[in-house]
Amino acid sequence: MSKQASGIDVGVTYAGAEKPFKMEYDPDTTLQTVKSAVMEAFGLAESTDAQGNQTVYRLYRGGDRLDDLGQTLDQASKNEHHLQLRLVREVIAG
Amino acid sequence: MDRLQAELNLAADVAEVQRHGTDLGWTVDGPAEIDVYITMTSHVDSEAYVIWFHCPGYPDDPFSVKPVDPESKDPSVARAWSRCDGFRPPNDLCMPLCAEGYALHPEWRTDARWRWESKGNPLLRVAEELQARLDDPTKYHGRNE
Repeated sequence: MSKQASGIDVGVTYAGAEKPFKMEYDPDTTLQTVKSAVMEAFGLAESTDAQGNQTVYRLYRGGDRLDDLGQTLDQASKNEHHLQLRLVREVIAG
Repeated sequence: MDRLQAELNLAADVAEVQRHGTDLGWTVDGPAEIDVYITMTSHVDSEAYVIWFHCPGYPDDPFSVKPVDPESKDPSVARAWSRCDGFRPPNDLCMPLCAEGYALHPEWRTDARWRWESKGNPLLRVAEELQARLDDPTKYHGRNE
């Protein structure tokens, strides 16, 4: 019998980065925590200028945008031990 | 940049776009020299758009991005365009992700928030951003008529 893995392997790709982000997290970790770590690893920052123009980054699983960043990795991965995500930039005109 | 080098750079990145695009429902046509066409569908209303990427200085320089007619590949066909924030049919995209946008706003080239990023796979990055926009009902308002 194989030993059940306790963590969730998270992979995040950003097409503007040379390499994907990979890290194992506790299942109770939220997507917001992962997003913050990914943004830092890729050297990205969200911003708003004086005219109200915004640059934000969204997490996607496949074609689905993950707007609830309060959900845990356990929930987002549907109890799987691997979660593959994409980070996509979005520019919002003010 | 040497045009042949741009072709080689583009071909390498298109291979990744083709692999990745399968999951997103894209049809990738090319590269033909420095041109690539990607068909992507809005999940809002299932309308499909053919986007032309013309990439003479790939990946160092921003490339031209325009929706085109599926048959003629003509970007001046108004119906080839979507009514989408940042899209100005049938002329250009006023967004910090294409040659036309940076020509309209030269200040974007030196602004850390908007400047062109040639790292990674810029073709995939831009295509993903366009797909996200087409899927967002707050920014996408259907086909241009």
